[in-house]
Amino acid sequence: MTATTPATTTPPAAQRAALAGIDLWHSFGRTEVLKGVSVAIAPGEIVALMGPSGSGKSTVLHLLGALLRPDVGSVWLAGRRIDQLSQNGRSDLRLHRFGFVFQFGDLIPELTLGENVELPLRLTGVKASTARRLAREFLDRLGVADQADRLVQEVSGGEAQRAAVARALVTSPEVILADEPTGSLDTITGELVLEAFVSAARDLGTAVLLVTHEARVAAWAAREVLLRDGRILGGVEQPSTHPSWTGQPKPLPSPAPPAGAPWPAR
Amino acid sequence: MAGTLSTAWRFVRADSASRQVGIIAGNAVGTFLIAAVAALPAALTSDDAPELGVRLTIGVALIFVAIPVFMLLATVGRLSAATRDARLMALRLLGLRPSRTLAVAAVENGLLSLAGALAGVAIFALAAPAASAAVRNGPGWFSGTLALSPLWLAAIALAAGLFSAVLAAAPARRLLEEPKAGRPRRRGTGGWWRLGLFGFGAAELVWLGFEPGLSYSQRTWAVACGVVAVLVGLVLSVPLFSVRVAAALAKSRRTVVQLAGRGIQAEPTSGARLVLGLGAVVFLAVALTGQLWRMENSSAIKMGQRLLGDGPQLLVMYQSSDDWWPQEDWDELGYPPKAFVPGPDSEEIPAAIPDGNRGREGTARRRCRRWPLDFRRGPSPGRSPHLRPGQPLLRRSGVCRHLRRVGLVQPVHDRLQRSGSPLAGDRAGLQFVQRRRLTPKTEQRHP
Ligand SMILES: Nc1ncnc2c1ncn2[C@@H]1O[C@H](COP(=O)(O)OP(=O)(O)OP(=O)(O)O)[C@@H](O)[C@H]1O
Ligand SMILES: [Mg+2]
Repeated sequence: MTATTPATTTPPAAQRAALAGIDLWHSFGRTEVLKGVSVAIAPGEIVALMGPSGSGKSTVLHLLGALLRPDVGSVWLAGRRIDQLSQNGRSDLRLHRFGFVFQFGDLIPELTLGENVELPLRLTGVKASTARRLAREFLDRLGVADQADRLVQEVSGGEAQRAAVARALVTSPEVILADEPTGSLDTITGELVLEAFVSAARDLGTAVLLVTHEARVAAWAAREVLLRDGRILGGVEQPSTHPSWTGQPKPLPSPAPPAGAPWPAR
Repeated sequence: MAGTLSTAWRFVRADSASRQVGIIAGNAVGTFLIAAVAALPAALTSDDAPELGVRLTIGVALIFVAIPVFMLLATVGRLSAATRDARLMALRLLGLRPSRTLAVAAVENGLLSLAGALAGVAIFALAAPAASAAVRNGPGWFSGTLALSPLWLAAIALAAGLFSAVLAAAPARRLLEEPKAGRPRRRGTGGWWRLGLFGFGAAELVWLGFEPGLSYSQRTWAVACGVVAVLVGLVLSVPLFSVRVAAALAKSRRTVVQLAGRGIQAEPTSGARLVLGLGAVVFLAVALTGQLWRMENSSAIKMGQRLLGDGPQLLVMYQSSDDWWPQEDWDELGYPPKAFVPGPDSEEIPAAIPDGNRGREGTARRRCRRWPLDFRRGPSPGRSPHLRPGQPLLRRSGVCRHLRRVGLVQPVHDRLQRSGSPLAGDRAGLQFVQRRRLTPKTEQRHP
């Protein structure tokens, strides 16, 4: 990577970050969803992305995860620009370096939970026995090892969601992008999921971006980013000083946001 | 690659039973039909270079079979396509490259298609001997046997399996675009342009009905083109119909109807295609039967049926005594009279070959030898090698009767028509061909 051409010069915000999106604009047809969003996540950092429904959180996630290309702006993974990569290049990144938890699950319903978790490993060429062992391990950690041999249709929504989390974690990715990973979980099982993310961040230096509505979940993150009407409230986001994860959840935000202004200005 | 294969194999096993059975059965039927049609020409005629008319007939039959087979294969490959596409989309989201995703789709479909294709050729190999024996003993269409070499069978199975796999994987092109999280959405497919080809084909067929001035072969090709256009047009229009119907249903106030509409909207083509595929097969079968019936009932064929029977027979051409038969017609037919040798490729031999024209006779004999014909000399005292007017040509049975009819009568009719003879419209006037069945007694008279 040469530092001479401006287009390939890593911006300062992206230099220390595991994953950074700089000045992202995106529209679906005529609807402008993102209007200059910048986010950066340091290695080992957990960032919570919050915002009202329809504010563009999932879109940010898809842009950062090389699923969508921004209209304007750039996405950087470990200091390398990824939004301009070819379809194949971006596919490879998703398979080898990202872990996704999608808002709508996107497990394959015809496969068992165990097979769903094994799938990314099998696709990267991991031996079947190893993949099986690793999948069991992660399912066990999330408390759904018992359901490993059941089809997705045969388990509850929360169990499927935990399997989706296991699928994102099982390849030990550099970055995890999780869209409402605790959306259909109660407090206890939600904490199992969050603990799994924390240990990945702490032990492997995984950067985690967590989309959530719940303040209780966001409290586990080192940092919160608020998105509203396609903009980050509080200006350009920089990754916080690394390492940021203290291992302790922050106290719940207080006081509770006043009625009419659900999202406190930063 | 191992990951791709094992994933595809896992998906094969994960498929619903109805999809598996549908694809296997559809491919088996399709491959069976292809094998049968491939074996047909050899069974119908013992000649390896049949006449143009025969080739045309076989060609039209091939088109008639190929289209429903094509649609059947396309249809079964797309069974539960929405489910399959959702699965493939999940792979794309996980980060499988487009090419590998297509490979998974192709292998998944290919395994099932190949299983079906193998079943199809196996059924053909098992059923063909019995079927050709039955046909030989019954309607007597075949002079040969309905059979294909193992190499041919293997090639057909492989080609059909591959074809079906590619056909099924082709619509998965969509997955090569940017993958979208959430269920894959189908595009609107309701453009009225889809009706264009269907309209063209239908208009052409209607026009044919009012257009008398076409020759037999022109008409055959025109019908074939019209039918192809109508069928391909129908396939193209299916999404249009299902999208419109679904939209209408979804507007209903009754919840059940509304749900049905939304269900079709979610998967507008799959079920409809199956119905369409079956409908097209039925339609083609009816059309083909109708065409055959029309041919069988044409006066030319009827006369052929009267003229030709089973067993050895004598065909002698006499000059008509009718005065109204214009001389030009006789000229056109090559007066002096000829003997017509019935065969898949009707052959006329000048009945009176002047001395010194042995070359022509030799050619005629050589060509006759290609068919199971007994080319005998007349009872000339000097055992003259030349044929004389009124001398018989004997043939043995065994040539496919059906093609013989076409082969014998059609060229005569065509020639009369070309010459603008009034006889063309009145084929019953062809009294100049006389048939006598050969009994042992008559045969004795012509040793
Ligand atoms: N594929 C798409 N085509 C058109 N519009 C879209 C598409 N995806 C999202 N949108 C629109 O973009 C806006 C942002 O969507 P997005 O999914 O990012 O919101 P979100 O913040 O994740 O909401 P939620 O919390 O409800 O999941 C919404 O108004 C949505 O309707
Ligand atoms: Mg969302």
